[in-house]
Amino acid sequence: MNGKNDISEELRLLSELIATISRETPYRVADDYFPDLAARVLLRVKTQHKPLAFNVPDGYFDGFAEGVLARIKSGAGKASGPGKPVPEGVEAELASLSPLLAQLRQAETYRIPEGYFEEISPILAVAKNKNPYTVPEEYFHRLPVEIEEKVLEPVTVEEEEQARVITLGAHRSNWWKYSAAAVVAGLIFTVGWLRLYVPGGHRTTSPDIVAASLPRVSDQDLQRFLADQDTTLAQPTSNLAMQDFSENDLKTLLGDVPDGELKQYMEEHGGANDIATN
Amino acid sequence: MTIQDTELLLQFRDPETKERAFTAIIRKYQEKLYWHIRRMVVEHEDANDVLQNVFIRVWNGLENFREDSQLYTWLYRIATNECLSYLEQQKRKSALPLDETESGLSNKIVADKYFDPNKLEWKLQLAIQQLPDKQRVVFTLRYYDEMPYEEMSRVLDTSEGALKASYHHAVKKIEDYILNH
Repeated sequence: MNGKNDISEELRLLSELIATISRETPYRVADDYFPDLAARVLLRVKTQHKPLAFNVPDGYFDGFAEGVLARIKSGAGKASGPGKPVPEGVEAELASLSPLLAQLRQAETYRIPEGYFEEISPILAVAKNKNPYTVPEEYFHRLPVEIEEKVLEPVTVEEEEQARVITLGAHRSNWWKYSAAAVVAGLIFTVGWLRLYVPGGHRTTSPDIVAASLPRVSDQDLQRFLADQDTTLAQPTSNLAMQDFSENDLKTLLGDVPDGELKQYMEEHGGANDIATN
Repeated sequence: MTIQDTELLLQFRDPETKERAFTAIIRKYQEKLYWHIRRMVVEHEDANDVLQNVFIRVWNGLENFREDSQLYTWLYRIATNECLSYLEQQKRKSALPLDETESGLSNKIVADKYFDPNKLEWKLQLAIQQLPDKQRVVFTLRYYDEMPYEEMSRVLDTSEGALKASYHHAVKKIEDYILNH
């Protein structure tokens, strides 16, 4: 009773609405259902294990497994176990099961007109029963032995060695070749580039080339060039020009110059006192 | 186990009184098991099939019943499993997609010749069919059979806590359904 009260109280706490609904299941069942139920169930229980209508001879299953194995070893159709021997062949089996069917089996149901196959193809009619292929004598007799020998034959070393072996390093050697070729090509390219490339884009030319091409330049072009350049160039800016030379130094410098040239120079430029001669 | 159940088991194990004991067991538990099954499968014909299967299983298995629970618990367990298997089988046979199988049972309720949409007890049946099968079992065992959670735990092989949560959840779902339909 306490349990029922607890359940009712629990339901009321969860849902007052559902607690108010009648707990009677609205489904109906026939009045005679339950009184007969037990009998119906018992009947079903008994019929689920109904014994078979067929009988088995006494001792049939004794040694059954051995008998089956013996039949298998001796070949199909030979009985070696207990019970009735099984007749050999399909016809004998059918005759033992049903003589009527065995009789009917021999009679052809369907008929064809006489000479039917000859009319369709005389060649086929003649060749019908002729097997063109031949088999060597005792072939089928020897076949199981040969197969067994081949299966059990040990594999020779030569046969093993002849087997093609593919090494895992095959691809690696090709890779080295390609990389070496790339390195050589890179070196050639680098050397060529270093030789030909000039930073800043300026090409250097030798003084000989300049001197050789100077006569081709006109005087007017030269004058224009000099006028465009800085005129200070005409002035002695070099320290070298302003260097203080002593008399001894001058004597050394001019010692090899002939006197006639010195005189000529003096006449053209004056300042004989500036020239120190030997 | 009750004295009567123990007695019935002894008689069942005696070949001479086996059938008589079995008949007595059926008569004692047939209505409880029938209504438990009927609330799950709705139609009488289906309930009859399931109930008879249950008792056949009882006949085959009662010899090995270990008596570690009440006979009543064991019977309810077989009945519940048979119901769930039967419903699963119906779902597989049915052309309806799995998520629409509860509408098949609802249609059976509506097709009942005594169905009255204005009565709350019929609405309750429709609401119960919206629950998943196992939750429906929990609700019907608690609501109709007033089974304690401890007993239910042995029938359904589920913890009491899970059963309480399932039942509370089921009540809320049913209430929502009734209020909205």
